[in-house]
Amino acid sequence: MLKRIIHKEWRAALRNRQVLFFGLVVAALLLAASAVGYVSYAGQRAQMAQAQAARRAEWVGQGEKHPHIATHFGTFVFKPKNGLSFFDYGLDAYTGTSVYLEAHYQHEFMFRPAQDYSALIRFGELSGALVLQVLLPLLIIFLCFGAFTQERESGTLRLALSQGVSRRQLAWGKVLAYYGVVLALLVPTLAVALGGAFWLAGLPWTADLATRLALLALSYAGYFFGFVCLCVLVSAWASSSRNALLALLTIWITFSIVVPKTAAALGDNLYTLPSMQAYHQAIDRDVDLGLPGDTTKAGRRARLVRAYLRRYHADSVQQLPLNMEWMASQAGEDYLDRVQTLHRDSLRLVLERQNRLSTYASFLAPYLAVRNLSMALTGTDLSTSLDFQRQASAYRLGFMRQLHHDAAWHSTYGQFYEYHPGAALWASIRDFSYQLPAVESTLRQYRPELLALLLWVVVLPLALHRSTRRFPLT
Amino acid sequence: MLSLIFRYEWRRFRRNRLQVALVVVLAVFGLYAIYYGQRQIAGQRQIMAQVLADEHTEFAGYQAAFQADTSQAAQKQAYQTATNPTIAWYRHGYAATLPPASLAALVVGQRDLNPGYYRLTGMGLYYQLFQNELANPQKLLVGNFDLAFVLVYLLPLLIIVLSYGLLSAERENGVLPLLHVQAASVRRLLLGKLLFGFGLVAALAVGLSVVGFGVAGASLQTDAVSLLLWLLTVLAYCAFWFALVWLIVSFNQNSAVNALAAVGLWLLFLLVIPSLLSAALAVVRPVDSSQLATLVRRTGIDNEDNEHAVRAVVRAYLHQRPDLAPSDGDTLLQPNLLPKGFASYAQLNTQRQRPVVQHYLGAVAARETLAGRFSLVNPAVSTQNLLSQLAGTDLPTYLRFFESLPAFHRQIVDFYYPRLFGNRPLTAADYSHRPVFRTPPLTRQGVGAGLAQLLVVAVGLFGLGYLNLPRQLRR
Repeated sequence: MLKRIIHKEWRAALRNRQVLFFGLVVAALLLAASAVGYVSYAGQRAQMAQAQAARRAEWVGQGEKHPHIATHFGTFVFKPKNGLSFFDYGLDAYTGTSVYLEAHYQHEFMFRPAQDYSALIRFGELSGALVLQVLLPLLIIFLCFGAFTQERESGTLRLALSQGVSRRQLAWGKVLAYYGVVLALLVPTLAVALGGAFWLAGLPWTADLATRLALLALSYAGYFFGFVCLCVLVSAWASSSRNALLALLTIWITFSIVVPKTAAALGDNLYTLPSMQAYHQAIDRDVDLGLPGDTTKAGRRARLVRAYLRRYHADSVQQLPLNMEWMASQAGEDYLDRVQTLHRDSLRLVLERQNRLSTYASFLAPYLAVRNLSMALTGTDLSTSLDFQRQASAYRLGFMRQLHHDAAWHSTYGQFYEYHPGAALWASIRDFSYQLPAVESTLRQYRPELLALLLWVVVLPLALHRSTRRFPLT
Repeated sequence: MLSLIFRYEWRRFRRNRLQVALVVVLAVFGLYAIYYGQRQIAGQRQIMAQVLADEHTEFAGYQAAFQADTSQAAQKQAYQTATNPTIAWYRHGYAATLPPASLAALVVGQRDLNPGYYRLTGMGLYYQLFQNELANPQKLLVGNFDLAFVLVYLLPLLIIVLSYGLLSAERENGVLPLLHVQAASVRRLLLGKLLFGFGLVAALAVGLSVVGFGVAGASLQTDAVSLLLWLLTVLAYCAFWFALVWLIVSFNQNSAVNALAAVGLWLLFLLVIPSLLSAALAVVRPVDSSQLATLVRRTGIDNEDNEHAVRAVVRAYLHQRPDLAPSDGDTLLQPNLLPKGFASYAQLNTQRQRPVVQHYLGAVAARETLAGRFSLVNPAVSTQNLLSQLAGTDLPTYLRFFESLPAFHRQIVDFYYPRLFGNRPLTAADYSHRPVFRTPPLTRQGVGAGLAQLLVVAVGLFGLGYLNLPRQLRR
């Protein structure tokens, strides 16, 4: 019986020219999004790789130089495009793409790609994720809003029931049929679009990547399934096709436009970020005066000198086997890093609090759950971007330590310009390469979203299943 | 006749709970959006006031240092910073700000993305220009819940809800045959109903805007033209959507088809066309800001301990700025060779970097020009651009500000460098004519044309619907 219902619905869907047209549009957009996504991904990846290589060459080829001048010459780190970012751009346009690493100062990331655009980019960027998250639910609505209302309006519902079909069978038949239509449209399109981009990008096949892809597929599949159930449910209870459509469109706009915007705005109203100036002033203050319970810069330096004199049983810094100046410089960097980490953590806390509202709003609007999970799985979310910052600043610290320790053992106290290392030292410092954190550790921060999506997938079918007996017949 | 239609439409509207609820919800959203925008901009104003206050404190300190007791180390240092050009040229910071205009609270625009202030010293220019304000990237992605969002995104939805059933609902309720036998033509009747809807939406949009003007503190004396243009733009945008729905209605299809078509077009104009366009532009006109990254590098003379090298740098700079060389050649390089070398290097470096920045700005401008060509099929983005231009929160306003910085930087250089190279200390009197930044004024150039374009499209769509309707009714 179920089979017959499904077949009937498929035929109806294929005959519905509007659905067919919109389905083709969605498929075309998906293909276009993937093509564009791949081209700009490849372009940006090449840009970043080229910039990184050029800065590395500058660093290695800077010639013989006083180490302190070299630490200020510094180097740059560019944010590489993650493999899956051609599917979901996430926050890539809004997080800075490069950072300057030099002594005494931890710069912030600069050059957000969205800054090169006018208001246009704020209307959204066409990506596979955008099509799936926003447009596909609309296609589902177009496909299913008349599921029951049309049967009622044309009188076929009573007819079908009189043939011994139960409302539950009918409901599930329709759900499966529509879901089948969605998958029939998506699976081949995605296989061609993403598979092609994937193959062109030449991504190395790893277990982590496979997990990410599988979870992406599962999240989207669940999201769509919930939507189909929702549409059939609304259609079953609506008094007319027109009302069903209106209700579903209202839900869709609330989900994908109103709730995300409101949650982000309220989060921003509740928690305020400091200004860049105040942020750096606070860091400078903590470095100069010391963290709470600690002494000033001069006090810390004196303490360090005393410690070294004790360790080497020396009476003066001149007797030390190493150049104390450089050890003091490195101690300054270590301290800066400590202060910076504290301040960055408190900044991260504000960001997470601002976003928490959007996280919890995903129980209200599953769009948010899928959006956040999709960004997390493609490595284009906030946590990955913050992790990149952490790795970059850890690299900066190691970079400085290597130069300072080298200079400490190769120069004597009181000398400043005498020691001029060259390419051998510069090249001995490894180049930065970013390691994407394992998917498990990223996902741990997305438990609410996972739960919200799970509820979406469980509660709606359940609601449909339980209420079928009470569907109105007229 | 018209007043009769209006009276009945008003009664009908009041009875339709869904429509009334939508208007109320939209009004509430509008009020929240005004509050939100006002808070955003108030925050930016506060930061900007802090920047200006910091600058004021800094220079008040320098002026006070002229009376300093130089026998004390700290005070002597302050005196040096205030008077000695070898220190002052790179220490003294000047604020250049782009204060939010009065309408900025109604459309935050790109102000959350681009910096609104800089602190400039006599050091290399570009080294100082690319610091961003802290921001939550996820928030930037979602965008601002400001009045422009309510007007550009949500208002069309109200227009659709109010008018998609203009004709189909009459037929579906069985009233259409009755209308046909009336003295007035169905078209006139529908026009009356459309006009009623337009009046309702226009009242809401104008009402919210006026509340917004009040909250944002716009004044009729100084901003009258901008306020008028704002209202006209909002009305033209409403007219565009009514005309579009009118055209859909004129095909005389059933309500569901109309609603689907209208929402489809909403999606097309608010999401599909803009996102397709920005994706296509990213491919066709890529802009590579990674080229700018190295400009922020704090480079200096590599072999600063080599006097010959430093002298060569100074000579190279003075070759371009002979006006800076003192008449007696002896004091040209000494004393203070090293500061002169650094200062020369900074300016030479700025000159070397200028083409890179120009190239970048040129690429951004070229992309914007190309995007502008599509404004006819991109009414939502055009409207957003018009509104944010009026509020001075668009990209071109920021770029004009950005491009005014080199001239200001040159003023700073011209204030300190003659004293540095002439070995003359700064005096208390000098401070009274130190450089002051003047923000470039807002321009309304192009707003009229954009508005006219929007209206022409609206009139065109309306005309098509007007002509199409009788033919479809006859079917």
